[in-house]
Amino acid sequence: MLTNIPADNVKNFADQVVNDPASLLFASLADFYRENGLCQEAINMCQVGLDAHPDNIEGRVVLTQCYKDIKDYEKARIEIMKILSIQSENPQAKKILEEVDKLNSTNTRSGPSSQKELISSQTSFDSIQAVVAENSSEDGTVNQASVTEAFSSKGTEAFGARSIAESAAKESEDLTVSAYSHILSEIIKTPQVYGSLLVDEVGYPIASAFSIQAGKVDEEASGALSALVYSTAAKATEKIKLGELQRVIIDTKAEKLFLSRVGSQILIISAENSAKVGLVAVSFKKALDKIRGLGLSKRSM
Amino acid sequence: MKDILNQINDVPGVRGSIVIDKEGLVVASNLMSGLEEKTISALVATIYAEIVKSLAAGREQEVYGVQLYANEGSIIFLCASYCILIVITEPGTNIGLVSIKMKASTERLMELL
Repeated sequence: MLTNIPADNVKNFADQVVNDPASLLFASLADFYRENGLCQEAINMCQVGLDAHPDNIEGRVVLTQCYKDIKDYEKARIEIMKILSIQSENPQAKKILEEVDKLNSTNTRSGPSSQKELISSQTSFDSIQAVVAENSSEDGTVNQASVTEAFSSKGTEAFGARSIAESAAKESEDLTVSAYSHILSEIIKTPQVYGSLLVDEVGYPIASAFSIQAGKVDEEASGALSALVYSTAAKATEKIKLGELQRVIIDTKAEKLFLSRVGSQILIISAENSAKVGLVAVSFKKALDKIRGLGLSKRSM
Repeated sequence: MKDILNQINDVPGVRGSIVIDKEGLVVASNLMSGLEEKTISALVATIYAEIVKSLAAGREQEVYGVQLYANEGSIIFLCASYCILIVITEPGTNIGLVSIKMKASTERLMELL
């Protein structure tokens, strides 16, 4: 399951988008261009596509990532605000916003000296949700212009307290991700295990470790598909009244896959087809215990 | 076919076994009370199809079998060319022994089908 995207799919996308620039496939092709370093081409494609389909969230996420990649954090944030005004809980937008804030904070001076920095300093998820809620009508429609104005006016008073709190939270999170990566690196030391991936409940990668044997792996696709399989299997075991699903082992021609839930996350291990299931299961269980321990220590902080 | 399933069910901890085709239709079954063959067959076929689709997103991979471990039991299924053999067990069952029996049974089932 930890695999590449076939080249034929890319060619089909490209043909369709060339024939119809407003095709809904623009987001997928633009993302491919972005991943291969062609950010400006990806931006142009997204802008044409979004002119035709302004509510296309996927396309706007790709555009946001392009701006982030070329370090135009202001434009990236503007696009994130547009996404959050449509879907205030969009997990991809929140993740990119966090990354943009982190990247931007490395260039932050000691105090706010511009309107841009005021807005960037205030960006925590709670504050965004609160502002969006305040500027929404009863039927849920969000006034985008007033959301942007609200951020500007609130920025001054919130800057000091939020900066310190956000810095501490980010530092704690960096340590946790580093700890996860260390645990996953330990797993791939098990004989015949060549990949481990930790994803959240919707399939977004949190940490990963792969040996050279794994080759090039599309973590996002693998994570999303694994999360989907796990959730389908979990629903099945509940319907058959076997209780909560603990672990899934998939035996295929090419590899063995081990999936298990740990808290709100899913741990995936990929091993050779001839791997000793019992040995991998022992490593798997040790890793699960360590990840649970990290979660407990984080809550007690 | 019933004899084959009876032999699997003789393994301590096994609550039942079913043979289905890949669309989820029951070919043969031998389940203890409390287990519904149609529910199990439909859900296993869905899981199998989901796994095959996910694996095919990159490159084709043949699925040999899947083991689902839950709090109150396990579902093990082995995939053959035309059918899927499913076994439901209680917690703590020797899955290794069940797997050996299932592999032998799958070969015999393929001869019959």
